[in-house]
Amino acid sequence: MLKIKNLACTINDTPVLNGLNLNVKAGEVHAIMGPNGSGKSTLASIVAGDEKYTITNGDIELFNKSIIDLAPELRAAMGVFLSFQYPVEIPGVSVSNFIKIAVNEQRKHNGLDPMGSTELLQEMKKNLELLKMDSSFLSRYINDGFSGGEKKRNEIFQMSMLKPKLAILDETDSGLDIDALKIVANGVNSLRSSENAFIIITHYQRLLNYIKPDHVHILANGSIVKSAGPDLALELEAQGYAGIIK
Amino acid sequence: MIRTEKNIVQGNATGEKSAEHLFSLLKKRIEKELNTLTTHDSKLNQTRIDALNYVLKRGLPNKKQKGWGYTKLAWWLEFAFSEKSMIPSSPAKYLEMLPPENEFFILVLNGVVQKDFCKLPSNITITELKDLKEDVLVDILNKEQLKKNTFAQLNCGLVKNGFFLKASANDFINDIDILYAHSSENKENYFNQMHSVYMLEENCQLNIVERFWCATGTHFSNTVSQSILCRGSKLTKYTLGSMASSNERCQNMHTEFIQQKDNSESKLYRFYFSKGKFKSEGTIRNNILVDFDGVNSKSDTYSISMLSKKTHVDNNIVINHHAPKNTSSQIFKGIYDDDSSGVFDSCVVVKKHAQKTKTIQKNNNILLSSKASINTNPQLEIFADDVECAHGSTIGELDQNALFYLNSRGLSKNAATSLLLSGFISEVTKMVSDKAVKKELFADLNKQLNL
Repeated sequence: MLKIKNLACTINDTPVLNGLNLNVKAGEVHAIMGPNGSGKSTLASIVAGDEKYTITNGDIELFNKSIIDLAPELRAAMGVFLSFQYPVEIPGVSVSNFIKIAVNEQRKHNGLDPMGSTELLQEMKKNLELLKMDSSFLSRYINDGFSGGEKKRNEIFQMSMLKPKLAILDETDSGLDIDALKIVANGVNSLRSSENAFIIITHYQRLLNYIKPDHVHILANGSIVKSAGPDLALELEAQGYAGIIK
Repeated sequence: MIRTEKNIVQGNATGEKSAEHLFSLLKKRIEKELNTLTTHDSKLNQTRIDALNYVLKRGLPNKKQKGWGYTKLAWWLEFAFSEKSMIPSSPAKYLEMLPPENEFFILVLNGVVQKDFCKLPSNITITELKDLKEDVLVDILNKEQLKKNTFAQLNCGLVKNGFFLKASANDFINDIDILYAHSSENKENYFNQMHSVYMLEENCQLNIVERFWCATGTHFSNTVSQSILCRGSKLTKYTLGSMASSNERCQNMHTEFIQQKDNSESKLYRFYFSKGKFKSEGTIRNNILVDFDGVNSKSDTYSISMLSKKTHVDNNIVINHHAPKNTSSQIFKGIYDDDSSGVFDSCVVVKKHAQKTKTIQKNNNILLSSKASINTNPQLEIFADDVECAHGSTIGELDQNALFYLNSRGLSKNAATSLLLSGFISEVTKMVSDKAVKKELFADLNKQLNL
């Protein structure tokens, strides 16, 4: 599904990623761990199309098509979703209105008729229930006055509505208490299928107790330095990065 | 004063020399009028003479004068002071511009109320200025509160057109549409002076929606509106657009004076767009003055300026809390594109004995172009010690992180920008309760937002 080939990029002329390779197949869950400043969030943003970064080398392919020249909204229409580490507050725009526009813009890109309001509302209510969120959430302004946990849940809620092929979760677990973590993990698990894939960026092994990854990668200094099975996360928890990145 | 751009782009204004030239034209006009007025001694004539002498003494405002730093009187005004009378085409066709569902309306064509094209409920009467008793007219033109305002005084000295609308006390809420049309068969330039008065008797409610239509040509409008709210009365006034609509050479000076007695409520909504049905392309200067003379009253002013091209909107506001226990709010939102510009210069004055005053003064702006500008200056003058007063201004650009957030969810650049801007102005749009206005407003807003 996703092939990142020898990717290098800079922000304001400072190199961030240096020759990063990653292959993600449909149905897989990849966890990416790494010390602060190693380039995890950059990787997430650059796949979603953040124009702050300049790609200096390499390519990103989605479904065997290069996407590096595509605008973020076109990538979204192809099925890319990024759960932001710091979701942006947008006063004056309600969650339900935003979701309605987002769902229908994506459908328009893919040549589908817009979804009716009633149908959308039913879908929203179903997904809110899954994430144990109150329906009053829909009329609140996007992330405006939300607690840290509510913001992260709102990201997963949007994901459940947009049904992406490739979901990238950038530290969705940070700021969540244990109960919220379970609910969010439960939400992610219910969306897992053989058709879609997840990239989960996290600092903690704890989330991976609830969402079982197929592969764990360690990112350091802008490239992946080690890849292995789920046990790598446990090893990291015990030893820290110092023992693994030499 | 927060300044974001050094120069406000204001057409081809050529500075002081042209201002002097303008004033010499105006002086000729005023002197001619004074000659007529002095032939007959009356209270009314004396009021007008005083008003005109004030204008002669003060001269036209220049940018060194307080409150006039960012709005210039343009050189093309010289066409305007002629006060030619225009021959309008048939009034009937203008009525089609009003929403069909509303029962009551007033048509004002080139400043003159068209009595045959008005429909009003039984408790509302409208009288043209020229038909008013002398005492009543003197009272209107001799208002102390208008005496420090050059353009209001010019209006009081020269005005012939206008109306006095009286709403008598009753339990009904009256919705009235007013259409101000400027029409001419031969694209003439036009100097319009108009003075309207709304007298709300005790406990009555009046909802006014003002719309404007201007033929092409260079127009200069100098208008005054007074509203007197007696005990327990409520006024809602929507102003959709302005008389500076047809092109960038039009100017509209407007003075809005509201006087509130005990337990009264006023709500003003003012919308300025550069595109769509309510477009304004010229220079607009609003002097908004609210006086609280009684207690337990409320005044809310909401405004959106969503401008492009060279449109300029200057809001100069004074809210006087003379008496205790009154509440006022101002929420002004500005979005400026191209060479457009705005001014928010507002002062809330809380007098010594006006305890328990509550006031909010808020002006938020987004600049979409490097050539657009906004000068904003929210001020409070507080002499009482038991009050709740908040004020603030913000100036910013579109938040790039928010744009990326929306883009990443599948919204195009245009759709994302529109959504952010509609969120930005929602604090005002959500307060609009009139259904017909809401419908028209959103249709026009979508035009600005390219939705």
